[in-house]
Amino acid sequence: MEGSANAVGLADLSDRSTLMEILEHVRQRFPNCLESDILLINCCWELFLRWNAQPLILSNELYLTLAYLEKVSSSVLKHNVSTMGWRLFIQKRFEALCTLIEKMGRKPKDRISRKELEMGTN
Amino acid sequence: MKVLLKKQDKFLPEDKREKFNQQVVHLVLMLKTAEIRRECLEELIRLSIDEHLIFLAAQQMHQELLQYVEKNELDFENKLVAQMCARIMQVCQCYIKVKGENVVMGNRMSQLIEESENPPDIQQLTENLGGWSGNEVVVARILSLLAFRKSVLKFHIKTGKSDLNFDFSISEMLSHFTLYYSHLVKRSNIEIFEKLPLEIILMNKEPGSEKTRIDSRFVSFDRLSRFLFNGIFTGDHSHLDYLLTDASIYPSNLLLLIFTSWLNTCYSDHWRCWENFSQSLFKIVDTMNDIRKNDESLEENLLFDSTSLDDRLLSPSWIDIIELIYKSTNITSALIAVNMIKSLINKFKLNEKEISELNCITQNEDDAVSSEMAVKNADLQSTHSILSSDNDWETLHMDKENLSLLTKQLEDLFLLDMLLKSNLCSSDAEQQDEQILSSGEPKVTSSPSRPNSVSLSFILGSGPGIVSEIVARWAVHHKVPPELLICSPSADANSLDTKEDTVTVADESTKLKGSVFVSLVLFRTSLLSFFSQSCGRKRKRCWFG
Repeated sequence: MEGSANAVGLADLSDRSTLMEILEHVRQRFPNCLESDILLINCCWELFLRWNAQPLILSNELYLTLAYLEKVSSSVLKHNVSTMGWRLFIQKRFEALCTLIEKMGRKPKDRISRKELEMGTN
Repeated sequence: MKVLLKKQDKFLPEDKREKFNQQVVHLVLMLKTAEIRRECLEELIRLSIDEHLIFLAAQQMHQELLQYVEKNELDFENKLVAQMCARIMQVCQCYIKVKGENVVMGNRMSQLIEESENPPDIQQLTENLGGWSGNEVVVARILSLLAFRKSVLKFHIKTGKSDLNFDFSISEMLSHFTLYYSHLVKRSNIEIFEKLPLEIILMNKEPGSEKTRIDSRFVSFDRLSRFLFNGIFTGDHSHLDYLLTDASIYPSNLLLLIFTSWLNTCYSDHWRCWENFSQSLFKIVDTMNDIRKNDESLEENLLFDSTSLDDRLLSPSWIDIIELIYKSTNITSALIAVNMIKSLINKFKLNEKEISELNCITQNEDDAVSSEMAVKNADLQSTHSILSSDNDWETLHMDKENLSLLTKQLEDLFLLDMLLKSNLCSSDAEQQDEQILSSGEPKVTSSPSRPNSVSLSFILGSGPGIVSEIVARWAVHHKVPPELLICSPSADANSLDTKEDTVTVADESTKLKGSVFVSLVLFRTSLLSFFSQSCGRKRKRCWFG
């Protein structure tokens, strides 16, 4: 068992190194487009979009966004992207929820919340 | 006849089929007017599934009409129908021949794939490919790129065997050709009723509304091209001879089809197929040039020569081919196709050079006749030698530059494509996808389709951030950890260097700031002491005063 686990680990390691090698080759060809920060920010944005489309099914995407965002070297960029993400995708849901609570005057039912927040029934 | 054709069955026994065919032919021969004959043929093409039946009906009608031609009793309209019959017969014969050969080609293809597994003799391969920019390095480079790609991509590369066996009906084949013209085709002012030139329909008949996209203007003939050229890529050169001579398809059409076929199949993965592609391409272009030499009065320049490579003068076929390359998502094939075109240009330029050298020699022989002319020619030759020396070292023609740029772009795209198609970190992700599917939960529809096919036109037309965007989409799809997306250690080292630079700059600035601060403090204390002294004096004065 240990042997097979080691083999899998080695395979993963070689896969990773190969992947890094290809990425490095592509980076040499597209140096500006594939700068680390730009790539990480694009990943974050893609995850934001995915989460926004299906927030309940892809709830993990939001945590992943943070993992990518952490690696961004520029703190200004990091702050701006997270602010944009918050304003565009997350804040509107909280606003909708607050409006719903104010309108109903009590804790809304799960079904109504989902409908209002456009979170689907699944 | 429509009722009769509805009853047709593919699996009829031989005797019943013969009887059925006779019934159809009998009906066809009963028709009298040209219009009805034409409509009948069109219906037959549309409804019939049997190529032999279409051929037989067209043949019988053709023979009947030719009898009238011999008696000089046939009107203009019926002559057009007779030519239509001849074209239908040609296409049917071509279909039957190609279909039969494609079935046999399966074994040949597997043999080629096996041969391509072995590394080639690069020098030999370069020679077979017509020199390929006169450089063996190009071939070796593409081969190494392909080997790298093969080692990286986990999924099995398509063998191309499946390309040989696909369903392509006679109706579909016939729909790609212009069968009826409103004018009679003549050769040396004589009406011809056999071996008529066949032309492929390139544009849609109905352009549609303005909203229709530009792409839909063109007929998609990738299936036709695959059907016709699969056998040729596997090394059957008699096949191409047949298409050029007996089938009489326009060489410019064949040129477009060969590139379409090449860009839509996976033959480029096997180097043995490159040779077949190269040989076929050279043959078609040679045929085109032969036709051009024979008939120089043709106004439409569909031929390929180095003088017509400028964008403004580029022949329509070549513009379409370059457009196909730009739009192709099969980057490997596109890369090889561009190199083929480059080698073709080299070949034509070499030929031109040889011709000009020959002209120079003959000029010199003439010069020996008269001394006066010799002096003049010497002057001319001296100027010519300057010009030719210019041409030797300065071969920066626009077409060649454009193709070099295209090659470079395609090479870059090749690596990007390889990255997008690699799934090195995605085993978990794909398992999860499978789990989602098996559990009945809806699949993630929000994310765009797998971003694994890119074309040059897509990259160039989608704005400057598209590369980063599609790579990010790929990374998210395959759950590539963020650590891997950060620049490599070498790049990090560079960034560290820059950090060191910034640190030293910062140190210096702090030193500077410190010195300024110290000087300011000193200045302030000196000022204070000055004021205190002056105040003391004043006080003293006041005090004493």
